[in-house]
Amino acid sequence: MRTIILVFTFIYLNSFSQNLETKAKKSLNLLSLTTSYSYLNFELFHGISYTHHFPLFSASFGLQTAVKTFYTAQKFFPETNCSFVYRLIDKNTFQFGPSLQYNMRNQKIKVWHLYNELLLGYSLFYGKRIQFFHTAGIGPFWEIFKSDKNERYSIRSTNFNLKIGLSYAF
Amino acid sequence: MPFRLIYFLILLLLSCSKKEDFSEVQVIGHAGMGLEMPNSIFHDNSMEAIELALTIPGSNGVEIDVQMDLNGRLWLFHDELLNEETNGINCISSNTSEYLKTLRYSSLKQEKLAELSQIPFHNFEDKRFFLDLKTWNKCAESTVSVEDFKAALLEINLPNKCNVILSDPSWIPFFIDEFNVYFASDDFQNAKIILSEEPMVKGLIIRSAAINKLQTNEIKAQNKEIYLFEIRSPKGVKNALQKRPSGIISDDLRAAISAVSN
Repeated sequence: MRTIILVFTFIYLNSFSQNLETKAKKSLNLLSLTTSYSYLNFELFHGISYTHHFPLFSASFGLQTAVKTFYTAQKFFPETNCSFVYRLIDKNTFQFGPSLQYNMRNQKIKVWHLYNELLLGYSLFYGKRIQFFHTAGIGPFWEIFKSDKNERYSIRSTNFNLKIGLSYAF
Repeated sequence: MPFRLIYFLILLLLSCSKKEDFSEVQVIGHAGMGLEMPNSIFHDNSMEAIELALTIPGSNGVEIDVQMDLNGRLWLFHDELLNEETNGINCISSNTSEYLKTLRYSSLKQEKLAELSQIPFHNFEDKRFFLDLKTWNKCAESTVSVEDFKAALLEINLPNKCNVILSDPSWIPFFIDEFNVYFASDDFQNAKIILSEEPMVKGLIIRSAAINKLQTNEIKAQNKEIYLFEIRSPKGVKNALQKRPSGIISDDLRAAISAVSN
């Protein structure tokens, strides 16, 4: 864990050595439809997200609805997320960099469970209007729900997540 | 055009949903929150995983793996060898309680190895506990003593008529009076013979892939319970539920509860 933090800290420190002038030329706001699949939790997400490209990094806010794969009885649940991606590599159609992501979702598993997670990892984007993306991250995770005895139950843990997906920008 | 396509795809996804009532099927957590599940927060058979599985609304209980150490104390551990999953070596049956108390799982949270006596059974009186008794000591290449195992179990303040799972038919007569005995097998025909020879056995624990709906009904028609295990994905949950067993021992507890509580 300490090694991971150290590596990402190093990446962030290094990032300021980039050429600001070239980065400043790029300033885009994107509203996109996204479809992604979270492999570890078997969840398929559909949603809409808004991304603002700052000179050095991109910030996005998304509203998603997720479903537990095609196969099981479909149960939709909402998720909101926001993320910050530092564009360490920023080519015409390819961006890659470390990312910080916060996800909050509410899922009904007999009762409502509230999930919060903060993920530090990387994001990769390829494409222009139709964009393939992949994110991976690790970080703290909280789950809150009410037990059968109506007691508030909270779990704190470390979670990791892998996501691949497609987005279409308007 | 893309809007319509996406709208159509979402509608298509929704239209695939066919709601069935599975509320009579019990949902049991396999080794707590699932055995060797990448998306489980806690390690299988750890106290944290067991407590979470018992607390989540919709869960009917847990199945846990029980092994006996050299001092006759009972530990919750699935594998034959400690080497791969913990920082220990050899087998549970070839180690002392003192040594086992120091061990931790090699997982992200490094949970401690749990003892059966640590489970607060009486805080969860409405839940069912299935103790899968592991009888084989790989390090000694022999089975452990059935009398000692039974004595160790009876020393613990277990719930009344606790459920035990046995895969060795020769152990059944030793446990049948004090426990609800379930027979575990992957061979349906062999299991049928055992169930007919041992009428006191409460039911069968079998891999979901090893049985179909007709065979499930056959067991239930004999007034026996049937629990399916090795259900690792939402698709597996759905397939298992459609066989209408008495219960499913699921590795993805959340997906199972979600499917049952439709």
